[in-house]
Amino acid sequence: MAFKAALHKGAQQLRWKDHSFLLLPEKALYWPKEEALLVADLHLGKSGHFQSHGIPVPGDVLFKDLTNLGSLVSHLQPKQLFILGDLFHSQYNDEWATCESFFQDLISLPSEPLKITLILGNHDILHRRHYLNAGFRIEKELTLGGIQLIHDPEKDVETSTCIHGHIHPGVRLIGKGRQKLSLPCFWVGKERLVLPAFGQFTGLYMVQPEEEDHMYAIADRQVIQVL
Amino acid sequence: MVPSSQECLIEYMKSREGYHLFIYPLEGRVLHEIMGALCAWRISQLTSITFSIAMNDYGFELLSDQEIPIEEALEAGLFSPDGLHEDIMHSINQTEMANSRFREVATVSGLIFQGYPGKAIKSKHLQASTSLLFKVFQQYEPDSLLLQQAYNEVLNYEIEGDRLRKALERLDTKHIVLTRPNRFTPFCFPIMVDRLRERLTSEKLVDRIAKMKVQLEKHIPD
Repeated sequence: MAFKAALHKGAQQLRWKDHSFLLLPEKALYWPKEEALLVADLHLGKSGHFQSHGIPVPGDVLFKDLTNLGSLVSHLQPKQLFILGDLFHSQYNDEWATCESFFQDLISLPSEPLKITLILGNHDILHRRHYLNAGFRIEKELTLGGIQLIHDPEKDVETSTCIHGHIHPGVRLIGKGRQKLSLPCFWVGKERLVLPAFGQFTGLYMVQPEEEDHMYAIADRQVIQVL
Repeated sequence: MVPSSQECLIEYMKSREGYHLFIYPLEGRVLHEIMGALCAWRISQLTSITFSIAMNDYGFELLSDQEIPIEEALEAGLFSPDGLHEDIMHSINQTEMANSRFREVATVSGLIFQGYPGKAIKSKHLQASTSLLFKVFQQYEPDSLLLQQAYNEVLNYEIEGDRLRKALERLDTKHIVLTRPNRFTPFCFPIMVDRLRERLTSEKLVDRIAKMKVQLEKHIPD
């Protein structure tokens, strides 16, 4: 399994807190030892949310996001999938039905059922039964291999080592000839590993790295260390 | 030097920022915007290169981190009206021109709600930046009427129908004077300091990243 993951195109190996990780260009994190796939900030149903408020946004974004996740799971065949919050954008809309059946299939299709854990984020305000119907385990946070998995650590005690989402980190690059680029990135700090937003219909927040932080930008289906 | 009415002045120089190419067709800012994009696109077809483009009423600047093959470009017909329409469509697609037009289209069509005068926006959860909407539309609904409108507005307002073709024909008959001043001239200075810039590239993203570094608030010495 680890061999398969190592061959993942465009991925970048990361050694952090005595664990090996794979930073994937699909804006997801793979943890070979736990056979776990981690994604954050999918914001599924955002187009539906806009549409139900009379704003005509293309709905195909949803299918692209789901296809990306589906092919990632079928390629890596993880045992567990952790969604670090903001799975579905705000209130219930029609697109949830699509998501629900998608996740039901995602769980039941592998020979050994995939375990999906949803760590609640600020946008996850659907009724619990929707998440349970989809087959998720729901948590506010949890600890895996000594590392806390959470959506947004700012609200809680800051001391522990964690992997989180919420901020949609981006990095701004500058170069000669007044060149500028903004790219989504993995932000690897001393005690924190921040995942980029998985969803297509999401913006970026430019983060200011501290000393000894590392940044891995995602460009052209490749993860590239830029700091 | 000051060009005569039968001449078109081109200045090419190197600075700490990179290589600057200034072209002065004297056709007004609106036309220089699209001419700049057009020239950048045509040169980017000769070699893989990234440009930052600025303009004013006198001319426009193409700035790059690498040498600009200007002689080769002039020989290949930099100002030629041949294949103009196609080249313009490409340059609009490659720069942010349609994106900035889309901002207006998005506001008028109600994609972006800016709130009533004097009242704060309540529907924060429905806000998305126009550039994000533009990206999503481009990828998932490329034939959307709203996108078409943005493209049409670029074509109609910024190119003004036949003006560009006539300007290029005029330019083609002029005598090109290529100079290589060793410092910035009074002509080029106001363009060079313009911060409102377009970008166009034919380089691979990965290759560009390799030459760039992360922008930090505090400057860390190398």
